[in-house]
Amino acid sequence: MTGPGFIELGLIMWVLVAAIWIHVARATFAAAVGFIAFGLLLGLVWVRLGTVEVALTQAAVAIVTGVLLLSAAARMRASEEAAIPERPGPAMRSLIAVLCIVVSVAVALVMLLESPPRQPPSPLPAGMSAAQDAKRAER
Amino acid sequence: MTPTITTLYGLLAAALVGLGLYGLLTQPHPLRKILAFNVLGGGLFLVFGVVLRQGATAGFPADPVAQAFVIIAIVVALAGTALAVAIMLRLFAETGRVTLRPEPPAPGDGKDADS
Repeated sequence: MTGPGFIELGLIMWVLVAAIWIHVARATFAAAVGFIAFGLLLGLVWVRLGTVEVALTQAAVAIVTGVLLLSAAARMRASEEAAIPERPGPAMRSLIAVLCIVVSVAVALVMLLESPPRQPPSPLPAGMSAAQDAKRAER
Repeated sequence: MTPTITTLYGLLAAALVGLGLYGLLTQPHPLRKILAFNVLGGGLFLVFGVVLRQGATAGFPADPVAQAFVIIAIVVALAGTALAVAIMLRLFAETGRVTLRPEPPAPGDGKDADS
């Protein structure tokens, strides 16, 4: 496999699309449907990370949470317009957006700096370790 | 190369944390806040999973105990979501509103159905 393939990039793109849809959807019902899709896609990400147990749990929990939120959204549809005036103003929202971007960049920097060491502690002999390194390099 | 893909997922997790935090702070409706909280939680668990994965590629075996902790966290988040939805539904049934502000945002909101 050479670099991130189409599966990874498409998966990341769709997870982001689902997460943004949860925020911008006009009706809470539609946002809850988007959350089910988001949770299932996150399960696929867990599969790609090699933890199938977590993926199964994530998918099951996403469906349960989504159905719970769907029923709540259907019952509370009358209260949606009443909550709109409590939205913070544009200045406050931009401030919050800047601070959230700062948090996001900080987490991303931690993710980038947390790179694995170049020489893994390997009990294998030097020849096999070199072969593994070559295999890892061509991956 | 595997670390590149894992790092990409780490960046995705960072973006999800930021998105969820923004939604949690700015969405007016409590149900949308709960949704944003779940997005934030998903990103946070993904951060944990990516760190776990990076430790695995560094030569350590993947730790099943840490995966079990992620599973526990996901299920606890589900329990917290269910509790929040139950409290919110009760508030809506009692007052007809979903806010804790003392004055109603619109006069007679939710009381017209009774009279």
